[in-house]
Amino acid sequence: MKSCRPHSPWTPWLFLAPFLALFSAFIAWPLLRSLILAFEQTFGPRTVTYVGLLNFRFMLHDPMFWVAVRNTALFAFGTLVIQVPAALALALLLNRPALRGRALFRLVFFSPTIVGTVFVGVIFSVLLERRTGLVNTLLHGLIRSWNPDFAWVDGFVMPSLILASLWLSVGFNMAYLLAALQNVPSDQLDAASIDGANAWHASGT
Amino acid sequence: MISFLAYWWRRFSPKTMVCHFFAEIVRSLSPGICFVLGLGVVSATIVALLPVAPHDGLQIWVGDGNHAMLYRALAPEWNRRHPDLPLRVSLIVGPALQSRMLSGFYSGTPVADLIEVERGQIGQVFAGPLEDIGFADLSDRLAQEGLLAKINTSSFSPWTSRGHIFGLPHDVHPVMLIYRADLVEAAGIDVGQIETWADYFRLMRPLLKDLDGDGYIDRYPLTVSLTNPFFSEIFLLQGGGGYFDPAGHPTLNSATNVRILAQLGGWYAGPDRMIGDVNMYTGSGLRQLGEGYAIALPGADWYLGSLSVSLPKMAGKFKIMPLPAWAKGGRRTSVNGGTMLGITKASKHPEAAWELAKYLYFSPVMARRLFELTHIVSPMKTNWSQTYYDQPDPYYSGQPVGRMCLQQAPDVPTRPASPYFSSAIQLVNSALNQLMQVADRSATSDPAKLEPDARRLLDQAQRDLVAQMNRNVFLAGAKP
Repeated sequence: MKSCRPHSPWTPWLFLAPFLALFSAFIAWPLLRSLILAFEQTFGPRTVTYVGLLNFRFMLHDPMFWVAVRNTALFAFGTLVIQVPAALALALLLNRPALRGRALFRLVFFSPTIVGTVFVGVIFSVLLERRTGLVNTLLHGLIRSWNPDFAWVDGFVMPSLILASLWLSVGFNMAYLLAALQNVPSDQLDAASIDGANAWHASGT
Repeated sequence: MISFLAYWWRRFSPKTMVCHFFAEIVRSLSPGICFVLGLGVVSATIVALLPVAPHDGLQIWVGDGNHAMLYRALAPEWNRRHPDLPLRVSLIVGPALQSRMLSGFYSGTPVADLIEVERGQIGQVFAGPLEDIGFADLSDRLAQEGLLAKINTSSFSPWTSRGHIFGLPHDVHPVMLIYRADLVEAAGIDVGQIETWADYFRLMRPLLKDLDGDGYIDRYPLTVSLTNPFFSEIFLLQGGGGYFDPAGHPTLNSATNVRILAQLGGWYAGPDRMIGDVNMYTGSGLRQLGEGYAIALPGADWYLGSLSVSLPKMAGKFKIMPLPAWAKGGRRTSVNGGTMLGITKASKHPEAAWELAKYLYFSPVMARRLFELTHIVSPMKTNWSQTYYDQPDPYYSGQPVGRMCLQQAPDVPTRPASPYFSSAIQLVNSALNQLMQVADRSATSDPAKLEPDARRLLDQAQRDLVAQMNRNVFLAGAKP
């Protein structure tokens, strides 16, 4: 076998060059430019003025910024707290060997992931519409006192978004967890069962 | 570096290097990856070989399908007269049109000779220094050719920045009240007695009904889309309010705005709610209109055309009338929407573009085609005497809707332009939504009781907008 020793000190750089070029062009330079941009105001790249810390001062005093921070935190918390356990629960259900029609359930739970965010937005806006929305129509049909004009978009925007996000993404996370569960060797599960572990304990192994 | 290149040159000939390189790559890849790569190469080749759309001639970008259809129909005639400058009409969806236009203005990427811009898209164009605005200043041309006097004055306002006009106005867009004539006449209500909003709600109150006895109102005298801020604008402008003064300073918390917002809060919410919520641009909204959820809605001339196409089964059931005024003798119309045609500074054919723009927007022929297709009336006052505006419209129970719109056209309010227009209408609509919550919480629809809260909310909106505007170092800023 021939030696792989480089013949010139430049050889490693030749092989690194494609990565370095792409990284510099698409990651490092935009990052640096964004940093510089934070201290400027522009009207396109040809009209640029240095403004020091003005943008940061404005941002910190802008009430909309803090609303956005609060909403992002709420959404992230709500999504994680509900989505991960829900995905795990679905994965555990689908991992039961005795379950019939597992492939069908897997498809049903995973399919919302395929439709995409825009479609989910459209579906949920139609579902939650004020008078003609399916949710209000259904609730008014079941409970006569339910106001068919109930405005979900007024007081329940965040729960509605979290719900829509849950519907969209829970199947995707379920697929990850299910793959992990199905990789657990059966002898380990058998051993856990002999040791008296119930389904909950077994899921923690 | 030179020694490195010399080494590789001596070691391998270029041909050998390339062959070795590709042979190694192909050997190391799986068949699947080779297939995908092959597919990529083939599709890239096909795309590269596709014919490129010609960029010669006089280009115009439009965002509206009806407009594109009208202008394309004109192309053969234009091309006969200008064989060296054929007309190229591109229909581009709104957000894409805005991105391409702004990229062109900011960075010099190619743009059309003429671009049609809607009111919601123009703000960003005006956000920088005057000399950097990508549209040509048309003020001198308009003055020299006497067009300023011939065109409806208020139609220029959205396209004017710092005293300079950057676009030809496409329309006037007077707002009328569209009402269910079948229901109103069956109830024996004479709309001729209506002069003010107070008259309107007093006379229409018997039609506010819970039709199925479930305890909830199923029919409102009026409807708007509460999430669409342009409806608040209709009422504010009609009542003499608005968002900016002619100098571009924000006026969100003016006394007029406070008074109107308090009244809207009482109509939209509280125990004496009079206005329903229908998004009339959606299928479900149109269905509710058809089912009689609302007696009336405000709509500009363009919406009259849109409604007749979207809800054809309701032909003969609607009529229009001037909007009720805020006070006796007050303005009976408002304005909603708007489009302009601007000549880009990058255009190599500004004279031809000017000739085309005038023809498209002001010629009697095009005005007629536009009205027949969309119900939009021309901003050119010399066209207002055309008889096609007097034709009875069977959809609106035989009314001459063109003439009725034109009767209100001179009273259409002005709308001073600002780069911060989008922020302003969102802030005011947000204030209105908060006021509605106040009305519901405090169980009042009385505007006098809501006025202090309306003032407080609009004061806050004004402060927020001033802060945004003062941040812009390119503009003069806002009054505190």
